[in-house]
Amino acid sequence: MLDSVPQPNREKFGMNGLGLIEGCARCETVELWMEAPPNAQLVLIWLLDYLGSHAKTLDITLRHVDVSLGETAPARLAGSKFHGVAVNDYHLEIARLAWQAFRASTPHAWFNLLSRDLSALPQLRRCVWEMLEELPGISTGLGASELRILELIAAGYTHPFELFPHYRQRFQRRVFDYWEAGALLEGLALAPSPAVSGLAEWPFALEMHNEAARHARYKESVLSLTEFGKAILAHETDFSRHNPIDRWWGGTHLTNDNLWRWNSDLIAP
Amino acid sequence: MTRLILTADSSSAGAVVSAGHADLAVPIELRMVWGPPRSDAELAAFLAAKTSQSPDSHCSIRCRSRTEKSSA
Repeated sequence: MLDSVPQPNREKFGMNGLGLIEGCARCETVELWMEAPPNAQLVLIWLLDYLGSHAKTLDITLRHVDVSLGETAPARLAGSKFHGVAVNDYHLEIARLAWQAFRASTPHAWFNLLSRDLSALPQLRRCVWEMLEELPGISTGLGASELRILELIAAGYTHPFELFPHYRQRFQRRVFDYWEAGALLEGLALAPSPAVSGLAEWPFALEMHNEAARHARYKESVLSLTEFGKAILAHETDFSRHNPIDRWWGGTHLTNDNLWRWNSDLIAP
Repeated sequence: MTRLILTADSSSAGAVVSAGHADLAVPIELRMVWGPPRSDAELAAFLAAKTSQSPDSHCSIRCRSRTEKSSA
């Protein structure tokens, strides 16, 4: 786990070769600073579930971080204070329930979290909603981020990188990162019945990024919606009726025969 | 006195150290929202001491999150 820390720092703090729990035990204070986007919240519930009672014996503090740490100027961040609480049994119980629900073979238990008091983990409820919104929509068969890509193309953003989530205000959705957005766009453009045309290069992988000519071709792609894509955006047709669906949502394997959908309510296949 | 902060990505880890909130910050860079669920053993290996995991298990998880397709 501590491999993600540069070697000199691991040596400086006596952490070489240690796992998380042993590493935490060497420190005077241990705090969890997990931000609001869904992936960070999922890491948080997994980590609390993994630590279990160790989180209390290690006296770990949970900070409710409501800014993007990496995008906040160091001087401003230095002066910022985030509310912190010692991890307790209630945090651990909510995290355990949520983590089990996320890994279940259907989204049902995850949906049922909405009827519980999740306030001990203040950003979890929004995470639950945002994840549910990534299930295929009832009329479009697309998740919220896929639909957002179509909306942005329709609005005139025609180059791939204009459609990516690092434009936070524009993209609005917070579930997927750069690489995942590239895969979503490919799914829309390379499907048997594509919703998007004009993608000039693929696959969206490190190899393509390392080859300047291919990367330039990708970047300069001029995207547009197909007639099918326009019909999806108008909620007149369903992507999944014309294309294979094979993706994971938590522990749920979404396929055409197992297509859990979302329409402000959970709809079973 | 070592103040440790755990974050969900490396830019956040760098930020909290630069801002003086921690002496050491560890990013837990797993992508939970993408791909098939990882087994408990695979996840536990990510947090385990180096001696109890395969030499490249950490890298394999991180690389997998970068390259796997939704159908993986």
